[in-house]
Amino acid sequence: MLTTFVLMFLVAIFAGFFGALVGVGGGVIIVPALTLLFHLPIHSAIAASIVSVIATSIAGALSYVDQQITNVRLGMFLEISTTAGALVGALIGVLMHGWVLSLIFGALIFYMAIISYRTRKVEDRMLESGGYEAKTDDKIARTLRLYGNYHDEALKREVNYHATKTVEGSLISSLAGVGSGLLGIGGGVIKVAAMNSMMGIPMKASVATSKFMIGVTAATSAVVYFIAGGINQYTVAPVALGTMLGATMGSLIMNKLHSKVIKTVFFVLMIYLGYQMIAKGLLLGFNIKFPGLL
Amino acid sequence: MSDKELQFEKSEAQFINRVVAFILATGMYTTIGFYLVGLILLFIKGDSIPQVAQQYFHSFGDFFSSLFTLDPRAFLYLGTVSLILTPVSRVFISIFAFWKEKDFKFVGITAIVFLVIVASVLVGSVFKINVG
Repeated sequence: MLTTFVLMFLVAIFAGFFGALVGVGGGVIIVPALTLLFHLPIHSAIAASIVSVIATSIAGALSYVDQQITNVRLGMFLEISTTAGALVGALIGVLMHGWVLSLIFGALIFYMAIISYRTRKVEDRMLESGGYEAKTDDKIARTLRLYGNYHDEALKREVNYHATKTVEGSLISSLAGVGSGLLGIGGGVIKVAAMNSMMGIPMKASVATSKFMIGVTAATSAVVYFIAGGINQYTVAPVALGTMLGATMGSLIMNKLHSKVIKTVFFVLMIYLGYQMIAKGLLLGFNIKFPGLL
Repeated sequence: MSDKELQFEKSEAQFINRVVAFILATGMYTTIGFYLVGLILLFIKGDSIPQVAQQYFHSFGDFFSSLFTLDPRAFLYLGTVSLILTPVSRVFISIFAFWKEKDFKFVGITAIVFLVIVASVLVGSVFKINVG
């Protein structure tokens, strides 16, 4: 059994490391790895993953809060939607059959593979032209003072920004919550999209604020799984420590690597894991056998 | 917005940031500590430990006796509990931090978030995992 611990720890380091390189949490790798390699029931894998998501988000959130990029007020405001979503997602997840979760998970990672492959140059253009400054706050953002500013190291200046479409942003953020409760992922990609593309928050502030929110969102889901009896202590500890360690290492060397190679590797890995999860779901649900299943 | 207002907002943000950072750091190191002790005990005691750690402690007495007999599960359990409680306490304490800054709208918002987390405790105790 001790060998299993060491292997889980190593896989978790890889997931955290690789996740940090491509800017996703380790969850999309952890859940398939635990179910496919270690043959854990998917509910246990989701529970272990969501706890490890808390661990990595705390480590990440700390560094951003120190750098004052996080918009704490915006984060707290959106947490209403993300925690409510997490509660609903965890409830559905707890009640659903494992094979259905496998299928949903497989579909999700296919989707993630595709959206993360598209590169974006829009951000630089927005920052250069002062596009974020030019937006105006909507009524809720004004009342709650959700606007903010941060010091951009690359541009060497303060970037002031405003928050628009707060209602739409909240609704999309709640989907990130559902994802966290249902599938054990952090949902950072969805939160960043809600803030950056929908609400007009600059990328860096969106990423930092998303990291800040993920811990609370994941904790809400984790509480449900913890009390409903889904958490296996032996699995959680090596996985949480491993992802935390891996994510820290990944964020240290992230800027030194060529992002194109990493993105391609990530794309291939996600497509493979997506196929595996769907094959596993079909096997468990309908006894349909696909070739190459781990 | 006047300079004075802007300065107030900056000092408020800095105060809340400091509180948040302190809670997160304390929680993270506590968790790492418990997990490491638990895993080291697990390696020392080797295969004499029970194979399954799924079941929880039935009572406080049960928990404390396993803590004093250095059962690795007690320490792993404490690690997970402190990890989950870290963001939860961040939310809880922020309610008072916003109160101190007289930012009552955010006292309300943060309190709602805290209530959702409390509701998740109820949901977890009513519904059990569908293992099918």
